[in-house]
Amino acid sequence: MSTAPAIRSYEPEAPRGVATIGKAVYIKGQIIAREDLIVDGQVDGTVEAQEHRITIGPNGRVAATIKGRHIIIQGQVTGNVEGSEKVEIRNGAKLLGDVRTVKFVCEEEGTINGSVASLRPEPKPAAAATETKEKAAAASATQQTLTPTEVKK
Amino acid sequence: MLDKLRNFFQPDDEPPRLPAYKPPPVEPAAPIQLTRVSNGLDQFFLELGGQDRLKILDLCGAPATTEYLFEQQQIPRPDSFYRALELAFGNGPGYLDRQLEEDRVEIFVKHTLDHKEGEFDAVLLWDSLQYLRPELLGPVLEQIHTITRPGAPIFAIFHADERAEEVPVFSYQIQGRNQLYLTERDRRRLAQPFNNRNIDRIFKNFGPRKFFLARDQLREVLIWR
Repeated sequence: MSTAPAIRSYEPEAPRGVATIGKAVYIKGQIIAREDLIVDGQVDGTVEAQEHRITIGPNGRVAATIKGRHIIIQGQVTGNVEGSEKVEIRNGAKLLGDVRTVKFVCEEEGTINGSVASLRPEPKPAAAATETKEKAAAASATQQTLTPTEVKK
Repeated sequence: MLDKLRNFFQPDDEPPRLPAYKPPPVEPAAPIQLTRVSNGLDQFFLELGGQDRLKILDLCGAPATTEYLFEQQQIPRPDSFYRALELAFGNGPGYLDRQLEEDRVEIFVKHTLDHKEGEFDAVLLWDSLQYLRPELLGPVLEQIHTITRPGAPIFAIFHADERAEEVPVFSYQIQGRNQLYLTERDRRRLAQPFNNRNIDRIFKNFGPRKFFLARDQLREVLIWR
């Protein structure tokens, strides 16, 4: 007697490296993500994913300060938003709060009520290190030229 | 035989029934969309003097304008002034009558222009003032005077056709330093005619004014706080 193999129900595979807060989820508190984050539910508090992308989905209702690398808003956000790379306000999105970012995009049907300030891009570590070395060399050279012995000459 | 023919052409006393006249369907006029050169806006940016990180209040709040100002290293604050106006006073024909109610006026000004004293370095009013009757216009201008720093440039637009019953409400998008893209989003009755004398009168508490003439029906004005 043979039994037919059980058919597994299909479950969509979540993209790797993305955390999702579904639309039936309500979170109150602080969220710190070490991977990309999609918020399609309700969050009251703080949302941080400093090096990653944060997407507030069309069903997302967020009353929080949001900090991330690239922030995409499709739902409703009340709070300040800081994107170290880019902030996008998509059609149908509503933002009540201030934005600070390097690149800013607001689509025609996106609503924002708050100020939008530019955040200067952070210098790359290698370039910054080179610049620091150059500054140090220039400073030491200046000090050398201003030493009393040289002035006496 | 002749009688039969006569009866055929004139059968009875009833007038012949003609099919009812149906006028051809009138298609609603397409919303106006145009690009125009704006010397007033050019002067506005000249007044900013290339300084960056200035805080600019934009009462029209079009996304393209916000993005343009952001690219210029300014700090735009888009404000949904029109939306607030509709919420507070409606957008039907009675919207001007409701502006006579003091309570509504007080709540509107308190919620729409609730900013710190001297907070803004410049203001883009666009054509928002021409939909406010004197009872609302006074408190709004008083509040704008309070929240802008002395000497701040303020850019405004008024329809030059004083006899027009209704004028298009435009969404103003900055495309370049002296270039605007206008999209009609509604039509409204003007609250009062704004000729040069009226404009001078309503800005009497502000600094000097400069008018910019244009070939179309829009009058641009730059006011210094």
